[in-house]
Amino acid sequence: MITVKFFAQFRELLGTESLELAIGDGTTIADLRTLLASEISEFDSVVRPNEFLCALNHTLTDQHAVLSDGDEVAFLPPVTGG
Amino acid sequence: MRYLAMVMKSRFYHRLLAVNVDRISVQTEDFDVAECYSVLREAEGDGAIVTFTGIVRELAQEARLAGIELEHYPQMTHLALEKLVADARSRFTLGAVTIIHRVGKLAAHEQIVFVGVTSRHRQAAFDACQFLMDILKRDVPLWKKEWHEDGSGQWVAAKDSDKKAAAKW
Repeated sequence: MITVKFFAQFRELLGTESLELAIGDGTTIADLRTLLASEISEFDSVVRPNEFLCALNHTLTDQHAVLSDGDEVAFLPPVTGG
Repeated sequence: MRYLAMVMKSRFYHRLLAVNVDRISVQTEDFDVAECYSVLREAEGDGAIVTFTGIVRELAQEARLAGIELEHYPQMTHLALEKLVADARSRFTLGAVTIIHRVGKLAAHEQIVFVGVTSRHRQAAFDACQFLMDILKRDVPLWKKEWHEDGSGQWVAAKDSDKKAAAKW
């Protein structure tokens, strides 16, 4: 199982802050995004291609990162701190 | 022993010590700029301090704001700031570094963020302070929501100008 987290407008628009799901070997974050887009109707319009950041186990990464059991993946809107 | 004494007096040794004077905090409570500044003044051997303080504006696109709310990713924010400071230290010769970022609800004119650095001379201090703010605005998981006086809220969109500022490093 992996944990997927959503923040800020992603959390509000998707109506969830985290979910857990099982993934197959070799699944990348890009694969996970495709899977979530097929399962959650509004996902594709909320987490739009190239308009989000992703973090794996609390470090920014890219969509090619391969996931393992126990990982925490976060889909982050472009950040606006400071 | 003589060698050890020489090492301890050397600038290199003080730089090693300086690694331990990073001050990084993500907090709801306000901070005291004078206190932050006085800590930076203690940096051994440095002749320049540059600081930046960000505050909440009272207007956004001509609309008057009641305030803002800052959300973050608690398990990641501090780690991202630590990486940011390490990156700054690898680029610039710095003494002390302080970054304080507030989260939660803030009213107009409240302080949001403090970045302060010391260096031997001004150029590295100016550049490092700019670098820290530019990359913070691209890589640290914090999001602003503006609350209007009519009770409506709106997430702030990331600005192209901020992306360009970060890209120049």
